[in-house]
Amino acid sequence: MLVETETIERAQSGDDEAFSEIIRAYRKRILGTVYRTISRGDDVEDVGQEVFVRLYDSLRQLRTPQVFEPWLYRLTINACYDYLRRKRREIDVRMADLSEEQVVAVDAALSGKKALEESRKEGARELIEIMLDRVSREDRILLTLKEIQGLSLKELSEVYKVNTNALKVRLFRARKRALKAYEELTEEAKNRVTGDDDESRTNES
Amino acid sequence: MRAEQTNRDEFLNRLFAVYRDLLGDFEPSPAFAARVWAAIDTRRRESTSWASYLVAWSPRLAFASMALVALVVLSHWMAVGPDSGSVVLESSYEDVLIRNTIDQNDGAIWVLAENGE
Repeated sequence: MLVETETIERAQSGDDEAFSEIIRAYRKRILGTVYRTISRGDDVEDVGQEVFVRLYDSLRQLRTPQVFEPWLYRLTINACYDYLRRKRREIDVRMADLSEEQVVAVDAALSGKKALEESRKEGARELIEIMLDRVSREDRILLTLKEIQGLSLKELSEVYKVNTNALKVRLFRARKRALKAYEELTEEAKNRVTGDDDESRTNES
Repeated sequence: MRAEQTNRDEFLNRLFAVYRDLLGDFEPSPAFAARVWAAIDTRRRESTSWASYLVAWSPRLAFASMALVALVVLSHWMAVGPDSGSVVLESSYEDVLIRNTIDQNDGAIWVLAENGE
């Protein structure tokens, strides 16, 4: 843990200095998790702020300070989940901007032969984000925590309160759905280019 | 089939690794902790103002509800009238019981007489 159990207990009894210590210790980790989960830089601090306010309101309900970290992760996941639910409409708009250029950028990033230009990096990143937008919010959060945040199965089982075997099954299914979403996306991007070409040819003739 | 699955798994792993690199780290702004405390203070003030509002108004609310109850009781009493609710017994329970027993036994005596007993 990043803070002593005693600090958590002091914060539980209303010590503001102890709570400030918790904010200082966990802000980078929590904001990092939020950033990787919602992938919208502008809103990260707002969601992170909501996490710490919820923490302040509910800290007294935590009976065993030893499980503070998984508990804090759960608060973070819930705040991200609420945010993603509110932002659903914006995500739908973003999907309309899909292009084959982005698929090429991802391919180039995967091959890793040379450094990507900033604009292509942005395109590749956006394509993967659209893929994550296309899977369910539950899948997205699980995949982010495991594959991007790098939590171990044991840590995840503490956060989700399920055994590792059940988690492996969930993860396997989530990965499968993510891959399917990515394949569909690349297919759509290619079809869009073909469709655009056909349209321009019709206009020319 | 298994090889294909492994390839797909590896592809997804690389895709996530690329995404991790593209995302980079997030640096919290220096004012983040202050913003959190401002939000907590706002919430505290809101809950305190609600509590103080209730404390300030509770005697008045208690008086108003007692006055309302008294008004309802009074209006009901005036509508129904002072005597209508009371029951005045003209005879005692014993009197009624004796009278009923005599009425029933009259019939029974006649039946017994007809049977010759």
